[in-house]
Amino acid sequence: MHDLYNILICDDEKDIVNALKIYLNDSNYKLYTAYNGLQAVELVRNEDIHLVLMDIMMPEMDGIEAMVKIREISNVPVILLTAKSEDSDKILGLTVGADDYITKPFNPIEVSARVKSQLRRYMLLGSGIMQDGVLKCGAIELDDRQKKVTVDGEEISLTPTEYDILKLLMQNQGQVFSPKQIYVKIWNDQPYGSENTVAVHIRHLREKVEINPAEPRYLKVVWGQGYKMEKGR
Amino acid sequence: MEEKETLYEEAVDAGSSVNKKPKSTLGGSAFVKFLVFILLIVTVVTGSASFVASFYAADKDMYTTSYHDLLCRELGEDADMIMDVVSSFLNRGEYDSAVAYLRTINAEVAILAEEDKYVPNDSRFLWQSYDKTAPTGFYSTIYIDRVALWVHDPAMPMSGYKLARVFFDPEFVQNDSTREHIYYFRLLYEYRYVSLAVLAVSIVLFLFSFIFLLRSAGHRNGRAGIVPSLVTGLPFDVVTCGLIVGWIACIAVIDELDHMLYGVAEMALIIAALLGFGILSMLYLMDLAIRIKLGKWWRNTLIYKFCKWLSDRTKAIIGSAAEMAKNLPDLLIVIGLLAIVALVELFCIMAIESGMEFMYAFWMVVKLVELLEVMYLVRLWSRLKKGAKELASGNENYRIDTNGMYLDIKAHAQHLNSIGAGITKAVEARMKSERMKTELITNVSHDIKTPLTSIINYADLINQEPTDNPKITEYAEVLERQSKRMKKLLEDLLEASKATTGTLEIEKVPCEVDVLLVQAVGEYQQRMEEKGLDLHVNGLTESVKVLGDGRRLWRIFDNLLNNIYKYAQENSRVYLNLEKKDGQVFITFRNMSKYMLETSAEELAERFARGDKSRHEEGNGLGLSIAKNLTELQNGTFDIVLDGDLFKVVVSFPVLNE
Repeated sequence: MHDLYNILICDDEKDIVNALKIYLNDSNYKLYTAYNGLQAVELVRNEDIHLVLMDIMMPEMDGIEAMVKIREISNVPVILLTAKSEDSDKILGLTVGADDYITKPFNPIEVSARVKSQLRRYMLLGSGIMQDGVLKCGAIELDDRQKKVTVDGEEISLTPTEYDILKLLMQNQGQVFSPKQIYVKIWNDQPYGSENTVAVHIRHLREKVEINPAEPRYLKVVWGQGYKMEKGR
Repeated sequence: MEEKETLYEEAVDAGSSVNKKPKSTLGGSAFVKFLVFILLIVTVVTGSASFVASFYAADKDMYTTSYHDLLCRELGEDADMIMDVVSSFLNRGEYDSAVAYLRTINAEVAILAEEDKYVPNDSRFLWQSYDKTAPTGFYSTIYIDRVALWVHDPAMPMSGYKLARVFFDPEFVQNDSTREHIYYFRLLYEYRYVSLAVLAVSIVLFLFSFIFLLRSAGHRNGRAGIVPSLVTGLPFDVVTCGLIVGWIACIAVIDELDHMLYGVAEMALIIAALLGFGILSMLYLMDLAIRIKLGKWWRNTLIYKFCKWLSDRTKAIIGSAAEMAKNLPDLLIVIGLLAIVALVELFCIMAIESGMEFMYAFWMVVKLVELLEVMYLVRLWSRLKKGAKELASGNENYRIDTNGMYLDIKAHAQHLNSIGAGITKAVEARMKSERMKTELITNVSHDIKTPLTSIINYADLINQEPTDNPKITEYAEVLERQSKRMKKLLEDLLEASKATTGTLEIEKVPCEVDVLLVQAVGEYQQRMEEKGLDLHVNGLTESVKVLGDGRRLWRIFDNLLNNIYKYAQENSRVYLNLEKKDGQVFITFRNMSKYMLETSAEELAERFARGDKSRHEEGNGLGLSIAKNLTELQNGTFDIVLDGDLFKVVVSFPVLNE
């Protein structure tokens, strides 16, 4: 592991900054704080920041404008924190270059998990050399020779069926499979009304590979059609 | 002529708009007009004179026959007159008197021995008036054969009918009536073509001056526009009548004079009268031209004024009658109309009874009028009906076309339209207030979220602090639970307000409902099992597609399954059913409620319906409301059925046919 990660927390609400500081109190992290967009951009310019956690609605300079300025000078991962939960706000945030998006009120565990995930991808996996037989989708890696699956570098345990489903989806990233199709491919049989078995397995699989199974980043539910693995970024 | 006129009018227009003072024109000059008027009179005189001359010449075949033949024909009358005189002398035996008479005129007479032969100096001449020694041929130039009268003188060999021959002196040396007659005849003959030419020129000049006068009428140099004449102020029909009466009087007088001999005085009078009325007529025509140029010439007529007065009166009477009818009760109006129709029909029957068969036709016309009116009323009525129906079915933007409607029907249509307008206005105001409410809720929610984040986080932090006091742990847990509930409430509130006002964006794509149901069940299977709930899914045999937004459809199923998860009796069965019927797909959720259901199905679907009646720890009552609104936004129906402890929700969508 890297010895020390520099994390910038930026929010105009001091109590939230403090709470985040407590949650991210880790020997591996060195925390910087800012209370508006201008300060955040200055810190990114002057310090070697590895990750930015930033609110959108702030005085002086809002998160979106700061985001644009940061992208002009750095490739650092940025997680946006905001009270706005509409789809259009999320899309705007991601369009201007944010790597992730967390809505307020947030779950502290989710925040630390996402921070960890972004740091791993940025610091460790960004330049990882792809080995033979290794399927990769974002933070998820599936090593078919060792039958091993890691998320953000941490190994997770899957049942054989879950492993097969994940492998099928990772081999065909971006492609939507209906529960029936998955059933036929994995069980080599017609489902005859037991497609919900597939749905149950997918739910379990999501609980294992996703930080928030209700808002999956990789294993997406296409409602009314099927399931797919988001094409790796 | 046309082109000239346009130029003329342009000149007038340009003058009045640019220079203020109109340009002088020939037509505007009173002197020129006077000269042209004189020319007109002259052309009328010369024209009529030359017309008479030409007509007479043509009547005498002057344009087709040689002068000699004409002369012979012309002298016939003179010959008859002469023969009358000569034969009376001869019958009395006064031969010398006859010769003496013939010496004083330009003619000589010979009576032939044989009826049809003439030989000059023939001894067989029975009688001749002229000297035989005179040079022959002199009298042979012109002669007219006439039958001489019966001569009774037994001494003469010429008793009985004999042919007489009248010879005329071509020089007409003697001063007699024949000479005068032939003088004028010759004059007419010589000028026969001149008279034609004069006629043609007169017609051309007449037309020119006539048109010029009509065109220039009303134009006056120094005055813009059309200047009325002295008589323009008088009613046109009065002026016309005056002129016509004048003409009739004039013609009557001439007709009267006709019975007397035309003397010079009479002739002068007739010519003066004709000329005078001709001038008056021309002035009348010019005045008519001015009236037409001024426009609406018919307004200044007694007839028009009378008609207008009559129509104004009639309108006033009808108007006051309508006003009176308006104040009468509808029933009386209907009875009155029926009475009128009945009277008309009674009149028809009586007329037919008394032998007036043609009244059948009148009766039929009356019926036809009635039929047309009833048809028209039915049409108006159906328009009213349609408008009311549209309003009733919620189309508040529909307006009844009041064109062609009248009286009460029109008022009724207008009332219906104002109801529609009122509803439209109310709906708009409602929509606006709903949107504002949504905005307010959204903004307030965002503002609440920030402090709520701190509350949730610090409650969690207190919870994590090691403490010996169990009460602190307990209180912190309450804080955490309640703050999380508040978070859920806020999120639901946002979604519910958006779903009700329709501000939610919905992207409709073909979705497989059976797949969605499988996915939803998959999401809930484990949690349901934890509560001992047995999920039974039926009807997944065929693929059913609907048009909808997958995520919103999932939200509906999510809310319903969450509801079941929270409120279903533990260790009971939950039935999910999918059924396709009549182009609709019905998804039924059935479970046994854990609590007694005290509210009605309608109240359950309303926002915050739970109120105080059945408040429980979990949930906030918005789930069903959101699900219902989302269903309706995607053209679906959402029904809740309560039967004892049985809780049933039926969601249906139109099936997408491919």
